[in-house]
Amino acid sequence: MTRRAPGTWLLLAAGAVVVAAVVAGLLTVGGAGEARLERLDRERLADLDRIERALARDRTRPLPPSLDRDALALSEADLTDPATGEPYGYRPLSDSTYELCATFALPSTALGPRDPHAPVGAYAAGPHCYVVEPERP
Amino acid sequence: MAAPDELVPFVREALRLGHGRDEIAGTLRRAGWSKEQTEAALAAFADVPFAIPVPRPAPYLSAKEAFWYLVLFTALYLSAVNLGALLFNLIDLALPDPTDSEYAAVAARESIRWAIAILVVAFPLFVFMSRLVGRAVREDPAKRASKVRKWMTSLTLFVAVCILLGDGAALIYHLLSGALTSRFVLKALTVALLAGAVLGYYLRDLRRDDEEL
Repeated sequence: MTRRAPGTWLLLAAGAVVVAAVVAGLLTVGGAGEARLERLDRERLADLDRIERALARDRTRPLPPSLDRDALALSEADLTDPATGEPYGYRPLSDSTYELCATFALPSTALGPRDPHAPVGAYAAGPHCYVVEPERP
Repeated sequence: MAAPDELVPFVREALRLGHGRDEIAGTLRRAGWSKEQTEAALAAFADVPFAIPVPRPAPYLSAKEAFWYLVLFTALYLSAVNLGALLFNLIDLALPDPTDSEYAAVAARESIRWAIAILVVAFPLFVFMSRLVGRAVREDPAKRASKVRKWMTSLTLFVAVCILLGDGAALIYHLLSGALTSRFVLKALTVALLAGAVLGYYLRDLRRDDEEL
């Protein structure tokens, strides 16, 4: 068939629009690699939040010198980075104040708006340390 | 429309006795039958010379074709809806509205991922089924008489018309309420183009079915 039917042209045009829209969509949201990095950062934030809550559970005792999985009732996965398996940084600064450290793949803005009062705050891609002070009653 | 039951045997007999089609139509009209009923009864027989009247292929219902057309039109609806959703979200992110909530951008990114995923699966299936059905109809024009084909095409036309109606009404409402932004116009245009393309193509298809049968 030398002359294509109008239906074929419409199908080709629709195909071109679909491909263009999918490519534009992928450029906007990033491909599978970028989405993976976002997920890993979300998991890091969730781990740090779990550690903060575990340390805040018993305020009567001073902070432990290091993070102990059994004493805090957390799993090994909660205390280590999901990508590298390295433990998160932890350093008690006083009886009630401590520092937590993690290495993020993307800046905090990549995850969209989050709780502005979270101790972790805003950060750039790369290692980030922050101080956690107990909330005043 | 379907020919009344008693009319088809009458037309067969009249054609067999050698009366012309115009003469039969005139007689029936004088007897009080409507133009549509008369035409439908005459359309049951092909206008080819032969010793006795030659019946045309009658509309038929086939389970296999129901499967074909259901897959074809499901893939079409999924593709059209998700292409629309993808374009809507791209327009939203390209032209941000200061009154949007902060979470709208995150939600738009998630919608874009879903829309891409569905399009990547549904659109190639739609193309494949379109070509499969198109080839089958080209090789055997009698397949144009498929009842499933007619119903699914008519249903699709109905859905497309409803969408265009809603789109037009939304455009006028926004115009009247002074909220006509470039973002909204782009979205209305997207919907009109998508539904218009579907409507135009299947309207033409339906008309050709009627001509070639």
